[in-house]
Amino acid sequence: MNIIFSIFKKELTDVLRDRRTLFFMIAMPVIVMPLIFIGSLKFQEYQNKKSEEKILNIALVNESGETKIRDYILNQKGVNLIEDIDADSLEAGIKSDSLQGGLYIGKNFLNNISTNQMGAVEIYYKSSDLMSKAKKRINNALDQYKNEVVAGRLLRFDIDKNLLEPLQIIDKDMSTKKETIGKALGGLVPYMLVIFIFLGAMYPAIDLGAGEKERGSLETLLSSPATKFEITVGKLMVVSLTGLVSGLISVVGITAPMYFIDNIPDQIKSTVLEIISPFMIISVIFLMIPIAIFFASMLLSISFYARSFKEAQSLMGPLNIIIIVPLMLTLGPGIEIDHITALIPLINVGLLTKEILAGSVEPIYFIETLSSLLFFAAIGIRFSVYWFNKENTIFRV
Amino acid sequence: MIELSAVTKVFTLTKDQRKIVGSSDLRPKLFTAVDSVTFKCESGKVFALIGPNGSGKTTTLRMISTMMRPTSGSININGHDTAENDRLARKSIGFMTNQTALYDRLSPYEMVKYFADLNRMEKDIFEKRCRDIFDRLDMHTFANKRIGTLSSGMKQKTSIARTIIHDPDIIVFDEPTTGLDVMTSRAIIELIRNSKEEKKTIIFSSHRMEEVKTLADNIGIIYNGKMIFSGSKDDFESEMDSVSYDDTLIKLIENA
Repeated sequence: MNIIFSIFKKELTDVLRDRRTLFFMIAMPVIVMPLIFIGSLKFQEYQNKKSEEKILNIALVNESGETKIRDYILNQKGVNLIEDIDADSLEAGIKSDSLQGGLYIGKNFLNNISTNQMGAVEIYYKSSDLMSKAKKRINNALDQYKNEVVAGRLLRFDIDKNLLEPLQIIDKDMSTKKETIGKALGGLVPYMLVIFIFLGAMYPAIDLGAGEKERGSLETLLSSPATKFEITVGKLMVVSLTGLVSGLISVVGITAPMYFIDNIPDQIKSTVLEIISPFMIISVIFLMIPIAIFFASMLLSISFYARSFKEAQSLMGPLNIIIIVPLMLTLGPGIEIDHITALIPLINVGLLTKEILAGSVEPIYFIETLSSLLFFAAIGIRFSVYWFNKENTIFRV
Repeated sequence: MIELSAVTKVFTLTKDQRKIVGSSDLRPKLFTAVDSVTFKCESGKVFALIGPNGSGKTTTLRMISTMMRPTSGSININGHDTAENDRLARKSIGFMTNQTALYDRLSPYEMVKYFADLNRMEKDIFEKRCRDIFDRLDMHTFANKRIGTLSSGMKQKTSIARTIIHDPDIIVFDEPTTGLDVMTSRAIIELIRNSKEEKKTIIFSSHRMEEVKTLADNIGIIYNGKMIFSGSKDDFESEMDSVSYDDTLIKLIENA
């Protein structure tokens, strides 16, 4: 045990003096998480504001003499109405992007409306222009016009407008704010956690395996009284710890913006802060420990196998995708935690974290998930030790 | 004392390794790196293990240092069979190569302390021995600087201190001076001489016949994994047709 502790202490000192490790372990989650959070909020806000405020050129080709629709369009915000235009120029204008939207009202429109028939109008726009609100603004104007026409017709026939609404549907959403936001955040949180655990463990793993080989220090270490088991466990402890710390710091990175961003609605802010409770943090840490050990064992095994730092990096690259895919699956609809998914590593983490954040986790699934992760972590440790004992791995040329 | 008895090491070659040794797929996938090697190194004596590249020197030294296990045969280190108790055997060994094999982000003191901890040295004994070694190698001025910032000479001194901190009875040098400058090589040669005076058992592999001539008491020549010569320096010199150690080595290999 003393030797394992000596190895752990030395490797930890060494790793904590490595700027690259510190960057991936601390700076990345501390800087990147708030940046992603604040950045995406600010960007979305900016884009919404920009598209709302944008003055759109909307053309009206009116062959019927109807004037009310024109007034409703003019009442919409951010509309520059162009009227001295024919139908052909309208189409050409939309295609060339000089117009963002257009409305064509045919000759018979007013006649049809006044004889209680349907009046056809054509809306021109480009669905590919995602930023354009032209269709929305034209629809708003047409809705107002439609409501006015319907109200007039019902009045003329002396019909109560409730006759057209036989159902009174009252929504009773039983989800709490915590559940709604928890499930929404639940997709993102495990994703970020797992990625940062992986990234935090990656560089120390490369340095303590392939790096030692490259420096030639592995041979001197192997000639010391430390057994291969002690060396592997000492190194595993350090790599797991760096992964774990990186994951924890990413949780701080998610929480911190709540305290210093002003334009998050109070309700969302208070709900998110309620979600990040001591129970949630302890539960997530329990999940993170075996994940960090499992990743550390896999990364260290690859690192022991690699001939050089560079080879280790290239061998670890594809692992990024392997860990992301199961987590992406959990983002899809219809996949829920059950007795089977609770046993599948990473998928169980994604699903269970959602439940933890929503405050609706069932203890049995927590136990199953934790048992499954601990089982895989134990296999990972066993594999690393076996792998490090293989002379072909350590002295691979 | 080191005693090897009919030690053999057979590797199962990977595809890449087969290409390196020039083996085609039709040939067996096994490669005998060391073939029934027997020799003895006594305390207070220096044993030089020589032979061309790929002859099995490093594999032999790695087995002596217990990094690798022999496929058959036995290795006895100071009365401990390495197959039975490799940890005890390793406690008596200091291992050194031409690579300094240091951790750049540690200081020389931390580096030496780490290996003392791995050898479970008592704190007081470590502090005293560390002070003695640092005095002898004049290391105090850079003892607490990061190794990455040191000159190659300072690094070599750190490597020497790391190798001998636990006062090993046996020191194994794998091509210790290959690729090193004259000054750095001299420090290692001095270490070998001093260790001999301290009655330690020393084994080193080398390509430099001048070093062998100067330092060795006993010589072993290994070729294609087989020990083709093992004897005292006098025995080796009696095989000499000329004054050159190089010529004698080549003659012995060609006759093998």
